[in-house]
Amino acid sequence: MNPQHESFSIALVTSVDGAGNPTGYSDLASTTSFTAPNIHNHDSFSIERYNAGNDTSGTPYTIFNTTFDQGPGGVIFTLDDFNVSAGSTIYGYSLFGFDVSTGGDAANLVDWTNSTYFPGNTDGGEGTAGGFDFSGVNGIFFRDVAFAVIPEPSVYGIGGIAVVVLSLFRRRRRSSLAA
Amino acid sequence: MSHRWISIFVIAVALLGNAASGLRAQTTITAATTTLTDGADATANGFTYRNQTLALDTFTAGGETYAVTGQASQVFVRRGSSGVARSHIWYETASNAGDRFGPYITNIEDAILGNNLNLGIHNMFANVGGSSANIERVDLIVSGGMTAAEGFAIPVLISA
Repeated sequence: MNPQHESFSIALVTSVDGAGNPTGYSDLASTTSFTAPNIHNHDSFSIERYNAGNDTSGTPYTIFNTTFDQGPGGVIFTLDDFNVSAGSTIYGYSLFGFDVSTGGDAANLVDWTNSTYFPGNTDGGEGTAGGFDFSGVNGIFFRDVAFAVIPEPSVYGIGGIAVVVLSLFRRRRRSSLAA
Repeated sequence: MSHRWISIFVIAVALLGNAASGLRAQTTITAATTTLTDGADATANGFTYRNQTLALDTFTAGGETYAVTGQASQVFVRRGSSGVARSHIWYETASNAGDRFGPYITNIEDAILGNNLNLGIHNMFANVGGSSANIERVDLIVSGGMTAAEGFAIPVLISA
Protein backbone atom coordinates (compact mmCIF):
# COMPACT_ATOMS: atom_id res chain seq x y z
CA MET A 1 0.00 0.00 0.00
CA ASN A 2 1.02 3.60 -0.50
CA PRO A 3 -1.55 5.52 1.56
CA GLN A 4 -2.00 9.21 2.22
CA HIS A 5 -0.90 10.52 5.60
CA GLU A 6 -1.85 13.79 7.29
CA SER A 7 0.46 16.57 8.42
CA PHE A 8 2.07 17.03 11.81
CA SER A 9 4.86 19.09 13.38
CA ILE A 10 8.01 18.29 15.35
CA ALA A 11 10.82 20.21 17.07
CA LEU A 12 14.02 19.21 18.83
CA VAL A 13 14.26 19.94 22.55
CA THR A 14 17.34 22.10 23.06
CA SER A 15 17.14 22.54 26.83
CA VAL A 16 15.28 21.03 29.80
CA ASP A 17 14.82 21.72 33.49
CA GLY A 18 15.87 19.34 36.25
CA ALA A 19 12.78 17.16 35.79
CA GLY A 20 13.20 16.82 32.04
CA ASN A 21 10.54 19.37 31.09
CA PRO A 22 11.47 21.18 27.86
CA THR A 23 12.56 24.80 28.33
CA GLY A 24 13.88 25.46 24.83
CA TYR A 25 13.20 24.35 21.27
CA SER A 26 14.72 24.33 17.82
CA ASP A 27 12.84 25.59 14.79
CA LEU A 28 9.50 23.86 14.25
CA ALA A 29 9.49 21.45 11.29
CA SER A 30 6.27 20.35 9.62
CA THR A 31 5.18 18.01 6.92
CA THR A 32 2.57 18.59 4.33
CA SER A 33 0.27 15.63 3.80
CA PHE A 34 2.29 12.87 2.21
CA THR A 35 2.10 9.42 0.70
CA ALA A 36 4.53 6.74 1.80
CA PRO A 37 4.72 3.00 1.37
CA ASN A 38 3.85 0.85 4.35
CA ILE A 39 6.95 -0.56 5.98
CA HIS A 40 4.77 -3.16 7.69
CA ASN A 41 1.38 -4.34 6.49
CA HIS A 42 -1.47 -5.22 8.82
CA ASP A 43 -4.19 -7.71 8.04
CA SER A 44 -6.53 -6.25 10.64
CA PHE A 45 -6.56 -3.87 13.58
CA SER A 46 -8.69 -2.55 16.44
CA ILE A 47 -8.87 0.83 18.15
CA GLU A 48 -9.59 1.00 21.87
CA ARG A 49 -10.70 4.06 23.85
CA TYR A 50 -9.97 4.72 27.51
CA ASN A 51 -11.57 7.59 29.42
CA ALA A 52 -9.14 7.89 32.35
CA GLY A 53 -6.36 10.14 31.08
CA ASN A 54 -3.12 8.25 30.62
CA ASP A 55 -4.42 5.17 32.49
CA THR A 56 -5.29 2.41 30.03
CA SER A 57 -5.68 -0.43 32.51
CA GLY A 58 -9.48 -0.31 32.58
CA THR A 59 -11.94 -1.99 30.25
CA PRO A 60 -11.78 -0.18 26.93
CA TYR A 61 -14.50 0.80 24.56
CA THR A 62 -13.62 -0.65 21.15
CA ILE A 63 -14.24 2.05 18.58
CA PHE A 64 -14.03 -0.42 15.76
CA ASN A 65 -12.46 -3.62 14.49
CA THR A 66 -11.59 -3.86 10.84
CA THR A 67 -9.62 -5.78 8.27
CA PHE A 68 -8.38 -2.55 6.72
CA ASP A 69 -4.56 -2.33 6.46
CA GLN A 70 -3.40 0.16 9.11
CA GLY A 71 0.28 -0.43 8.40
CA PRO A 72 2.59 2.49 9.11
CA GLY A 73 4.62 4.53 6.65
CA GLY A 74 6.66 7.61 7.36
CA VAL A 75 9.10 10.40 6.74
CA ILE A 76 12.39 11.36 8.33
CA PHE A 77 13.70 14.57 9.85
CA THR A 78 17.36 15.53 9.90
CA LEU A 79 19.23 18.31 11.70
CA ASP A 80 18.82 20.67 8.74
CA ASP A 81 15.06 20.51 9.14
CA PHE A 82 15.43 21.98 12.63
CA ASN A 83 18.23 24.42 11.79
CA VAL A 84 20.46 22.65 14.32
CA SER A 85 24.19 22.08 13.73
CA ALA A 86 25.86 18.68 14.00
CA GLY A 87 27.60 18.34 17.35
CA SER A 88 24.89 20.23 19.22
CA THR A 89 23.49 18.83 22.46
CA ILE A 90 19.81 17.99 22.26
CA TYR A 91 17.41 16.48 24.78
CA GLY A 92 15.02 14.64 22.49
CA TYR A 93 12.05 16.01 20.59
CA SER A 94 8.39 16.92 20.87
CA LEU A 95 5.51 16.08 18.56
CA PHE A 96 2.71 18.56 17.84
CA GLY A 97 -0.47 18.77 15.86
CA PHE A 98 -0.10 20.49 12.52
CA ASP A 99 -2.05 23.56 13.71
CA VAL A 100 0.51 24.45 16.40
CA SER A 101 2.57 27.54 15.57
CA THR A 102 5.50 29.45 17.05
CA GLY A 103 4.50 33.02 16.18
CA GLY A 104 8.04 33.42 14.93
CA ASP A 105 9.60 32.44 18.27
CA ALA A 106 10.31 28.80 19.12
CA ALA A 107 10.09 29.72 22.83
CA ASN A 108 6.31 29.77 22.35
CA LEU A 109 6.37 25.99 22.06
CA VAL A 110 7.26 25.65 25.76
CA ASP A 111 3.81 26.49 27.20
CA TRP A 112 1.38 23.97 25.72
CA THR A 113 -1.55 25.60 27.58
CA ASN A 114 -1.24 28.82 25.54
CA SER A 115 -4.11 28.54 23.08
CA THR A 116 -2.61 31.28 20.91
CA TYR A 117 -0.04 28.77 19.73
CA PHE A 118 -1.75 25.49 20.73
CA PRO A 119 -5.32 25.68 19.38
CA GLY A 120 -7.79 23.91 21.66
CA ASN A 121 -10.18 23.02 18.86
CA THR A 122 -8.02 20.67 16.80
CA ASP A 123 -10.30 18.47 14.73
CA GLY A 124 -9.89 14.71 14.80
CA GLY A 125 -11.63 14.07 11.49
CA GLU A 126 -9.96 12.32 8.61
CA GLY A 127 -7.52 14.63 6.83
CA THR A 128 -7.43 17.21 9.63
CA ALA A 129 -4.67 18.44 11.98
CA GLY A 130 -5.54 15.85 14.62
CA GLY A 131 -6.96 13.03 12.55
CA PHE A 132 -4.01 10.73 12.17
CA ASP A 133 -2.49 7.82 14.06
CA PHE A 134 1.11 7.63 15.22
CA SER A 135 2.85 4.28 15.32
CA GLY A 136 4.47 2.88 18.45
CA VAL A 137 7.95 3.86 17.21
CA ASN A 138 8.72 7.09 19.04
CA GLY A 139 11.77 8.45 20.81
CA ILE A 140 14.07 6.24 18.74
CA PHE A 141 17.10 7.96 17.20
CA PHE A 142 18.84 6.87 14.03
CA ARG A 143 21.98 7.75 12.12
CA ASP A 144 22.98 7.42 8.50
CA VAL A 145 25.30 4.41 8.47
CA ALA A 146 27.57 6.23 6.02
CA PHE A 147 28.62 8.48 8.92
CA ALA A 148 29.11 5.66 11.37
CA VAL A 149 31.68 3.56 9.55
CA ILE A 150 34.27 2.13 11.93
CA PRO A 151 37.60 1.44 10.21
CA GLU A 152 38.52 -2.22 9.83
CA PRO A 153 41.49 -3.41 11.92
CA SER A 154 43.47 -3.74 8.70
CA VAL A 155 43.08 0.01 8.16
CA TYR A 156 44.63 0.68 11.56
CA GLY A 157 47.45 -1.75 10.63
CA ILE A 158 48.20 0.02 7.35
CA GLY A 159 48.13 3.36 9.15
CA GLY A 160 50.60 2.09 11.75
CA ILE A 161 52.97 0.78 9.09
CA ALA A 162 52.80 4.13 7.29
CA VAL A 163 53.75 5.97 10.50
CA VAL A 164 56.72 3.65 11.10
CA VAL A 165 57.98 3.98 7.49
CA LEU A 166 57.61 7.77 7.60
CA SER A 167 59.53 7.94 10.90
CA LEU A 168 62.35 5.80 9.52
CA PHE A 169 62.53 7.93 6.37
CA ARG A 170 62.75 11.20 8.35
CA ARG A 171 65.36 9.71 10.69
CA ARG A 172 67.49 8.55 7.75
CA ARG A 173 67.13 11.98 6.11
CA ARG A 174 68.29 13.73 9.30
CA SER A 175 71.28 11.36 9.48
CA SER A 176 72.21 12.14 5.86
CA LEU A 177 72.02 15.91 6.47
CA ALA A 178 74.14 15.63 9.61
CA ALA A 179 76.81 13.70 7.64
CA MET B 1 32.58 34.34 -17.42
CA SER B 2 30.80 37.69 -17.06
CA HIS B 3 29.62 39.08 -13.72
CA ARG B 4 26.06 38.56 -14.91
CA TRP B 5 26.53 34.83 -15.42
CA ILE B 6 28.39 34.52 -12.14
CA SER B 7 25.46 36.19 -10.36
CA ILE B 8 22.96 33.87 -12.03
CA PHE B 9 25.08 30.86 -11.07
CA VAL B 10 25.31 31.97 -7.41
CA ILE B 11 21.55 32.59 -7.18
CA ALA B 12 20.79 29.21 -8.77
CA VAL B 13 23.05 27.40 -6.32
CA ALA B 14 21.39 29.24 -3.40
CA LEU B 15 17.91 28.35 -4.62
CA LEU B 16 18.82 24.70 -5.11
CA GLY B 17 20.29 24.57 -1.62
CA ASN B 18 17.11 25.97 -0.08
CA ALA B 19 14.92 23.61 -2.05
CA ALA B 20 16.91 20.59 -0.91
CA SER B 21 16.73 21.69 2.73
CA GLY B 22 12.98 22.31 2.60
CA LEU B 23 12.27 18.96 1.02
CA ARG B 24 14.09 16.91 3.60
CA ALA B 25 11.10 16.81 5.93
CA GLN B 26 9.24 15.06 3.14
CA THR B 27 11.80 12.35 2.52
CA THR B 28 9.76 9.20 2.79
CA ILE B 29 10.92 5.91 4.21
CA THR B 30 10.95 3.36 1.42
CA ALA B 31 12.19 0.19 3.13
CA ALA B 32 12.93 -1.14 6.59
CA THR B 33 14.32 -4.08 8.51
CA THR B 34 12.71 -5.23 11.73
CA THR B 35 13.14 -7.70 14.56
CA LEU B 36 10.24 -9.60 16.11
CA THR B 37 10.36 -10.65 19.76
CA ASP B 38 7.62 -12.65 21.44
CA GLY B 39 6.89 -12.55 25.17
CA ALA B 40 4.39 -14.42 27.30
CA ASP B 41 0.76 -13.85 26.39
CA ALA B 42 -1.50 -11.84 28.70
CA THR B 43 -5.26 -11.90 28.98
CA ALA B 44 -7.17 -8.77 29.89
CA ASN B 45 -10.47 -7.14 29.06
CA GLY B 46 -11.61 -10.21 27.18
CA PHE B 47 -8.65 -10.16 24.80
CA THR B 48 -5.41 -12.07 24.44
CA TYR B 49 -2.39 -9.84 24.09
CA ARG B 50 0.40 -11.83 22.42
CA ASN B 51 3.07 -9.50 23.82
CA GLN B 52 4.98 -9.24 20.56
CA THR B 53 7.29 -6.39 19.67
CA LEU B 54 8.12 -5.66 16.04
CA ALA B 55 11.05 -3.26 16.37
CA LEU B 56 12.41 -1.05 13.62
CA ASP B 57 16.15 -1.75 13.20
CA THR B 58 17.08 0.08 10.01
CA PHE B 59 15.29 2.02 7.31
CA THR B 60 16.08 3.47 3.91
CA ALA B 61 15.15 7.03 2.96
CA GLY B 62 16.49 9.18 0.16
CA GLY B 63 18.82 6.38 -0.88
CA GLU B 64 20.55 6.32 2.52
CA THR B 65 20.35 3.62 5.18
CA TYR B 66 19.86 4.56 8.81
CA ALA B 67 20.40 2.43 11.93
CA VAL B 68 19.31 2.84 15.55
CA THR B 69 21.72 4.80 17.75
CA GLY B 70 19.71 5.66 20.85
CA GLN B 71 16.40 5.96 22.62
CA ALA B 72 14.61 8.51 24.75
CA SER B 73 14.20 7.63 28.42
CA GLN B 74 11.22 9.78 29.38
CA VAL B 75 7.88 10.64 27.82
CA PHE B 76 5.50 13.40 28.87
CA VAL B 77 1.93 13.65 27.57
CA ARG B 78 0.85 17.32 27.77
CA ARG B 79 -2.89 17.86 27.77
CA GLY B 80 -5.01 20.98 27.50
CA SER B 81 -7.27 22.11 30.31
CA SER B 82 -10.53 21.73 28.40
CA GLY B 83 -12.07 18.65 26.88
CA VAL B 84 -11.97 15.01 27.91
CA ALA B 85 -8.61 13.43 28.72
CA ARG B 86 -8.87 10.17 26.81
CA SER B 87 -6.36 7.72 25.41
CA HIS B 88 -6.78 5.75 22.21
CA ILE B 89 -4.56 2.83 21.31
CA TRP B 90 -4.68 0.95 18.02
CA TYR B 91 -3.53 -2.65 17.94
CA GLU B 92 -2.65 -4.83 14.99
CA THR B 93 -4.80 -7.92 15.44
CA ALA B 94 -4.49 -11.55 14.39
CA SER B 95 -7.99 -11.47 12.92
CA ASN B 96 -10.98 -9.15 12.91
CA ALA B 97 -11.56 -8.39 16.63
CA GLY B 98 -9.07 -11.14 17.46
CA ASP B 99 -5.88 -11.38 19.49
CA ARG B 100 -3.81 -8.23 19.86
CA PHE B 101 -0.23 -8.80 18.68
CA GLY B 102 1.22 -6.19 21.02
CA PRO B 103 1.59 -6.23 24.81
CA TYR B 104 -1.15 -5.39 27.32
CA ILE B 105 -0.54 -1.72 28.08
CA THR B 106 -1.75 -0.03 31.25
CA ASN B 107 -0.57 3.51 30.49
CA ILE B 108 -0.58 5.39 27.19
CA GLU B 109 2.99 6.52 27.85
CA ASP B 110 4.10 2.91 27.34
CA ALA B 111 2.36 2.83 23.98
CA ILE B 112 4.03 6.05 22.83
CA LEU B 113 7.63 5.65 24.00
CA GLY B 114 9.13 2.55 22.44
CA ASN B 115 9.87 0.72 19.26
CA ASN B 116 6.89 -1.38 18.22
CA LEU B 117 5.23 -1.31 14.81
CA ASN B 118 2.21 -3.39 15.78
CA LEU B 119 0.49 -0.75 17.91
CA GLY B 120 0.16 3.01 18.16
CA ILE B 121 -1.91 6.02 19.15
CA HIS B 122 -5.15 7.00 17.42
CA ASN B 123 -5.94 10.70 16.78
CA MET B 124 -3.28 11.81 19.26
CA PHE B 125 -3.78 15.57 18.92
CA ALA B 126 -7.54 15.80 18.45
CA ASN B 127 -9.37 18.18 20.81
CA VAL B 128 -12.89 17.78 19.46
CA GLY B 129 -14.94 14.86 18.22
CA GLY B 130 -15.58 11.40 19.60
CA SER B 131 -11.95 10.34 19.30
CA SER B 132 -10.52 13.47 20.93
CA ALA B 133 -7.89 13.07 23.64
CA ASN B 134 -7.05 16.72 24.40
CA ILE B 135 -3.31 16.14 24.00
CA GLU B 136 -1.39 19.21 22.88
CA ARG B 137 2.19 18.03 22.92
CA VAL B 138 4.18 14.83 23.48
CA ASP B 139 7.76 15.11 24.74
CA LEU B 140 10.29 12.32 24.19
CA ILE B 141 13.24 13.21 26.39
CA VAL B 142 16.80 11.93 26.70
CA SER B 143 17.94 12.31 30.30
CA GLY B 144 21.25 14.16 30.35
CA GLY B 145 20.99 15.01 26.66
CA MET B 146 22.81 13.61 23.67
CA THR B 147 25.08 14.88 20.93
CA ALA B 148 23.31 15.18 17.60
CA ALA B 149 25.98 13.76 15.30
CA GLU B 150 26.21 14.28 11.56
CA GLY B 151 23.77 11.95 9.83
CA PHE B 152 21.30 12.13 12.75
CA ALA B 153 17.70 11.35 11.82
CA ILE B 154 14.31 10.89 13.45
CA PRO B 155 11.74 8.75 11.65
CA VAL B 156 8.07 9.48 12.30
CA LEU B 157 5.74 6.69 11.26
CA ILE B 158 2.05 7.29 10.72
CA SER B 159 -0.59 4.65 10.21
CA ALA B 160 -3.09 4.94 7.42
